[in-house]
Amino acid sequence: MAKSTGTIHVSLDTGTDAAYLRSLQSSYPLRLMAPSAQSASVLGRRHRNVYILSFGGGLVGGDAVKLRVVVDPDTSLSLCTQGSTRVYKGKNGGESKDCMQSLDAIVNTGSLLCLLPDHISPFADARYKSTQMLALHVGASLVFLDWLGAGRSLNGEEWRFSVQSYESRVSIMHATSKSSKPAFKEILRDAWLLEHDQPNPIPPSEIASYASALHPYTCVGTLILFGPRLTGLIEAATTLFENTISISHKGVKGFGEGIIWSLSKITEDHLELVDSAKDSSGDAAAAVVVVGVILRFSALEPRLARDFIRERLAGLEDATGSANLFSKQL
Amino acid sequence: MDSSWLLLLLGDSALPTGGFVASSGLEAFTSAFGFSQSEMPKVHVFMRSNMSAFAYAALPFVTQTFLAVSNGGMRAPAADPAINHDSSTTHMHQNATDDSVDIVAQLDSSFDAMVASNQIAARASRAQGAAFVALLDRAFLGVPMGSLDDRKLRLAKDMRKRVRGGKSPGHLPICFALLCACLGVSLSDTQSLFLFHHTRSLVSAAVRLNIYGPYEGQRQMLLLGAHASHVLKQVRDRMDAIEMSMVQEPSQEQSCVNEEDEYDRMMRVFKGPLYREVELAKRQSVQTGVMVELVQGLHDRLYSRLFNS
Repeated sequence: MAKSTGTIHVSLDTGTDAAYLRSLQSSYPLRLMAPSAQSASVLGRRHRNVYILSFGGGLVGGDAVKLRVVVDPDTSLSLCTQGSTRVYKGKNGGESKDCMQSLDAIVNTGSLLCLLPDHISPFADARYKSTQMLALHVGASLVFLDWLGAGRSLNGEEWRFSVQSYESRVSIMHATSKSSKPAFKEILRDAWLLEHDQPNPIPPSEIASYASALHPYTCVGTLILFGPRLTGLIEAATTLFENTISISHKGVKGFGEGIIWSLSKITEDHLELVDSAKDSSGDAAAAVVVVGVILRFSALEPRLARDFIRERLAGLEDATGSANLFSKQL
Repeated sequence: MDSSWLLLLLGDSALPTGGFVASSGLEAFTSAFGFSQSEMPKVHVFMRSNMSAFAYAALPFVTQTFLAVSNGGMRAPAADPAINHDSSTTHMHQNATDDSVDIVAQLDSSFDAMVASNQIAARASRAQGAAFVALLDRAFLGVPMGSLDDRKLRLAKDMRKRVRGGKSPGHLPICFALLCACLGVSLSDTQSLFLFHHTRSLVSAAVRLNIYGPYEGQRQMLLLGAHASHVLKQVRDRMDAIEMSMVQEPSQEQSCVNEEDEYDRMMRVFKGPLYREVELAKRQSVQTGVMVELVQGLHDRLYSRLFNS
């Protein structure tokens, strides 16, 4: 049981035109490791990889890990983990406690933050709570991945955790011209609660639990691609979804092996402050600009979900100038 | 007016609510996974987790909108005067001491962020919200009712104007609660009625998709009534627990430390909305239906479809 805080701040050294870590701090049980950048390209020099490690390879009830991240203009940062994050059972000396992870990030104009953790693997009775607040300046980009496995399937522990609670908020910070006061708009709030239900009065009682609704999938997740530096990835995902997937009386077509997924678009007009929202009655025919996509996926095995993520992120190396956890060459 | 008269009126399937074009993902679900007799248990699971998901996500917004409309709003301590929050209407009603217009607009905008991850659900919610605003405006506002005072009338008119002008998305939970509060329906009846409408849309979609016959549909409505009470109780308990925990935590002013840096200041502004009702609804509202969300996202990939969601 431990409380821990970490800080990552990526800045641009104008002398060398390379990104450096102005701040990289963490305390037990959290450990941050930043391999030195080894890229010749401009984008690669301006990108840093940071690995989030935890002692014992997981979290126990009562752990609270807090991370704050700042990505300065024209740099990029990828946050990865080494292997899945295990969440051990919540009971600790008779008392059930949540383990909590929180991440607050400020992503500046022209920069890119890639959150690319491996999946969460909750053991039976685990209690896990995650909060992520992502503040993007106009013109910032984001890759957001959050995925959850069923637990130790080999031990017969499938969807046996007590509670998983996720809250991720993405806000856009506008600099208003008149007063230069910043103004926020929360554009996305993705909050999830999965917990074993209380006994339901209607037979069959077990169907109210999250586990029966997820069966037979053992891995579920969300991937968000957002912002100007990811235009190619966003277009590729949208085209794949709209052109290859179809459902008719003959069945479903176009999904990969053992996976189903859907995609929803975020359009440019959604980012505007309500104050400045145009009168939409007149210009309904105006072209809709897609600035981001949200993908939901469910896979029969984490391995298949990993393949799916890798395919959707193909080309991310071009946006960051360096390889990531999901790049083929790794 | 007799309260059961109101309930019968609002529960009547002749009420033009726009709900009958929505299947809430059921059409995509059954098209993708089939609904032969052997797959019926899967349909039952889907119906129940669909109702739960809808209630957990939307009822907090119904409840907080209802309370703001019924009681009027109180301004919470401003988070930071240097930062302009996304509160669209502040300048429009400077003379009013009551903030309910602002609160309702912010609740609408917060719910919009909540459904932004699912463009199909967002579309259906806006269409049905618009239907309730039109119903309130065209059918009910002109009728003299004890429950409809000047403040509520102003709220209703303001909402209609904002929704028509594209200034507010006009989501279903917000518009539905506004209508019920204007008509003087009780909060607990408003919550039940909201879940009833959703369930009836689902079952009626199932009947039209030929999953249930007409008698089986009615049998399911009766069975799902028990599930609805169960879900309502769970969601109400959750809302109460979160409200309690918010009362107990220190206020924003006390918790802000002196040596707050730029980062803390931004994050605080970020996390702290202006109104208690909005903060509560945000904390209380969650999604629970992973498969419901995913499958509904597939709706526009249907080769042919009867419903629009």
